[in-house]
Amino acid sequence: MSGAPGHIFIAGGGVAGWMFALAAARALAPLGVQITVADDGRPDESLGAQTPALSTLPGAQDHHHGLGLDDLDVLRAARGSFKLGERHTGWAPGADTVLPYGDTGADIGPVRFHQQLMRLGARAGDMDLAAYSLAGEAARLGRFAPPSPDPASFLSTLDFGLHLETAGYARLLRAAALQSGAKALEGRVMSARRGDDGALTAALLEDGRAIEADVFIDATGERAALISGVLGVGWESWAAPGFDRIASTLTQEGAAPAPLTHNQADAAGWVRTIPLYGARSDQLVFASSAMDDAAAIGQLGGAASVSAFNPGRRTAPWSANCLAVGAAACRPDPLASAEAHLAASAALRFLKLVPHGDGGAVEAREYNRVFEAETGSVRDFAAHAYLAQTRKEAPWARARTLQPSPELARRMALYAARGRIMRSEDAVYDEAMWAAAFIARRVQPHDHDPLANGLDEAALKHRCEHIRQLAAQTARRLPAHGDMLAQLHGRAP
Amino acid sequence: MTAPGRRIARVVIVGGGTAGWMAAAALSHGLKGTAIAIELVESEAIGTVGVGESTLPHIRHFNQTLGIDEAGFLKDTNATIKLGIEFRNWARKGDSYIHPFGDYGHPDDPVNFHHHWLRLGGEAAMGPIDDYSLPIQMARRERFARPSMDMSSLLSTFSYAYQFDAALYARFLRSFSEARGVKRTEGRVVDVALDGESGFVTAITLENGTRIEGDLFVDCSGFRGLIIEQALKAGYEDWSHWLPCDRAIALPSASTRELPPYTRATAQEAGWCWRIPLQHRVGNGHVYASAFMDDARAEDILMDALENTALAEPNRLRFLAGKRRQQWSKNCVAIGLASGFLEPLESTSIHLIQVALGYLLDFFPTGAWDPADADEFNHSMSLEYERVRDFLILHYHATERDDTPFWDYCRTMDIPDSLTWKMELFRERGVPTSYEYGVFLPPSWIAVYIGQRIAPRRFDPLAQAIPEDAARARFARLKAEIAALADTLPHHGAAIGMTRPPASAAG
Repeated sequence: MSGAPGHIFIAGGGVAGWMFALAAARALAPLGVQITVADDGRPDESLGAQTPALSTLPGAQDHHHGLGLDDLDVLRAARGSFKLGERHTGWAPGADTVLPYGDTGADIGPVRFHQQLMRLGARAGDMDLAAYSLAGEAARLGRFAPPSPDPASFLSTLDFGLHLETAGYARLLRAAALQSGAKALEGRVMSARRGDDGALTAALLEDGRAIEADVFIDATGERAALISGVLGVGWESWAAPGFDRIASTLTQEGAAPAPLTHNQADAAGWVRTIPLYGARSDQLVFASSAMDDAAAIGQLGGAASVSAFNPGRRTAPWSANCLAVGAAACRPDPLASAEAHLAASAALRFLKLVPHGDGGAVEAREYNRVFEAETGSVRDFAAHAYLAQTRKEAPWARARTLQPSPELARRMALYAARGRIMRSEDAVYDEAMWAAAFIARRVQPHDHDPLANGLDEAALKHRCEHIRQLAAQTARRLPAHGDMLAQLHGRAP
Repeated sequence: MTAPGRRIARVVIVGGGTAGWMAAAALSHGLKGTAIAIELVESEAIGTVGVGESTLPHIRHFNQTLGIDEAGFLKDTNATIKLGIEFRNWARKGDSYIHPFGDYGHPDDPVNFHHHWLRLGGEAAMGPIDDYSLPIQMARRERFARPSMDMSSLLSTFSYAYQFDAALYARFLRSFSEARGVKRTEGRVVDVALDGESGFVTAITLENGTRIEGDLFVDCSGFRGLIIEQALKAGYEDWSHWLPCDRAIALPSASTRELPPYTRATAQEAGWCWRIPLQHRVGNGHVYASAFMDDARAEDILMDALENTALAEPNRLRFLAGKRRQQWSKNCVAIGLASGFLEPLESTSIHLIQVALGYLLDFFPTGAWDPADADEFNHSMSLEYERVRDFLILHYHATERDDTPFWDYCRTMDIPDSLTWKMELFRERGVPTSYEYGVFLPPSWIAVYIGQRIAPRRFDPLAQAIPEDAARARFARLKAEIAALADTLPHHGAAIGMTRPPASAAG
């Protein structure tokens, strides 16, 4: 009545390939399922070209737990540091704002915290949401402590993501996957053989070998050797018009890393800096119409490499007996911080829908349905930054012609009217994160929630001020992020 | 005078009953401090439908938000506890299963229990899946204890709702609302005035000539939709080709010796009968499709189903499954039966009222009347209605019954695509689809699929991670543990502090 596939073959290693291998091996190797990863040993582009480091959303910890990994091991292996939110500078003239993770203030019944501040007269341009958040205050002071599990403690309001070096992270995932029973094979997958029913029967390697399997995982990054190269499944592009190139560099750095990812907009593009322990990664997303590759490399210090940038998603990542993961399935804009999240959720979703020897179509449809909702959130969260920025230069004006999805259009209309946050079917970003994003991006609603008018002004003022002081005082008592990391890594950067 | 641009100063709720007084309570609480005045207009002459006597666990959240004390509420509304719904005769005559407010199996197993159950041979080898659910075993034994917060305990595997007298609940919420400043006006609405330019509702006029002006009108007038339909012509989406039942007869009867903490829904020739035990009486009813059954036969079936003396004359109702195309139109928001009708098979009527009130507070308008608020409200409510609709259709469609033309129709009718793929996925491999919003979560879908004999062709291969013998031993232990635990819990009546003895037994 039931049987798991005999052999799952993963084309491409990297974070996407090895994370999938680890999840699959832990669940399926005990059932006798063979799991093989063809790793070509080249720089990891499984999550997209020019991704030397990852900046994750909160929740990476849960994924690690599900994969049997200890967060501290992950941080040690990947020169990791903690991420309390994202800093945005230059997206509006003179703007320097922080989008903090975790709780900000506290709702009063149906009245959201940002509505309380707007009721007190705060405007988008001067609303310092981070000051009412422990993560925001700690980030400002360069401090960090893990959140408390005790919900009564103010320390429980903090949440965090991780900054990880991609190569180190992939090495750790590889070691754990091998230990769980996955097998590695050296080689580069170029293509595949198909049977009469259109399904893949064997992966074809550069050196001429053919490897037979029942299920094929395409983790070859944007190359998409199987899902696109063999099956011809289409790509839906999300790029903001004109922003078509990406450059990156990974450099050594001695200074203590800030617990924030920094997104800095400039005339022809924007730079995303991910601080690691003893290093930093810079990604430059830019418009080739306003800056050539040489100038981009120069801006990043001369040692950068450059690729085409075409964020988007596969129209059907699970087609026949082939499932695309990582950038072969979806390349998010770096602003969405979603690369690691999508890699982990792909593996976990697959495990709920592991196909049987003779099945797959129904499972594929369900997988693709959830994938569409999830990646839709990721698309919208990044797209909104390009739509909300108010820079005057030509590439930025052109970026604002990006067509929002119908869901994003609804979301923006709802916020513009009364600062309300639309609920989404797939909550990659929760309501609080969307509210923080709208505020960090300086969107000014026409009015605030009329329900906030029911709150007593003096009492509300007092309450908000109390939260602000609590955040500041608590943050001051936390250890310095650098000291915390030095202890964790057991060595100087 | 209610041209767009004016500040919202007055909310007028048209219609009392469950929807009207729930709206009054939720708005008087949510709008506290805003200086927005709330007036409710109702007529003693117009009866309320009050079929929504059986609820979902979410009602507890509604009450808690309002600060309502549970003990007082139970007493004042003659409420009983509800752990689920027993469905009789749905897939086949003679079948019985309970859709529980809870999970099957152990709380900390990463593989859903039904996969283990299927792997080990299903009902033939393992006995009914009901044996592996604590709330079902509590229900069958008429026992109850409140859930535990300790996630490793079996007592954390369920939730509960209430069965109550809807008229008493409305009265209860009326005192609550009036104490918070809601003004109640007696009278029948005879006219609705619209602004010539904007089409917004400006005022209603009562039979005695009183004119009541308002900025926001909440239409809780029931099926006819006094404002939303008769004045604003919001339109109705007819779903009767999927849910053909269009009539009901309701009738209370005297209590019996039993006090089951669950509602019963027994499938009949062309519909189904409900039985809802309260502290002081039993609510009964028969929902049927007039195209397949005449009223006299329907009444005979209901009378046959009664377990004790009838306490009143039968109350007859007519309806049409579906929903208003626009539940929020202009400055009118329809709530309760004015917004649409889905039969009470899964006790969703009161829940949909509660959800609508939550969205109304989330998207409460200002004088700017930004269309984004109404759009989001309508979009959200449509999803809620459609997801309940699909769940209801499942009960009728997943049947093997071929004993009447009604069941032949339901078994062979076309169903919405959204339900087709949900059923295919379960039939293929036992996976319930999940979504972020919508009231029924995967455990509910699993209960109804299995209870109505949708046998998955395959189970989750991850269930095989435990050797078969070990799995068999583990679940035999679990079954015994659940039965033993259920036996030790207090009796339902004692658990809710019922002081009066139940009425004498039937016959």
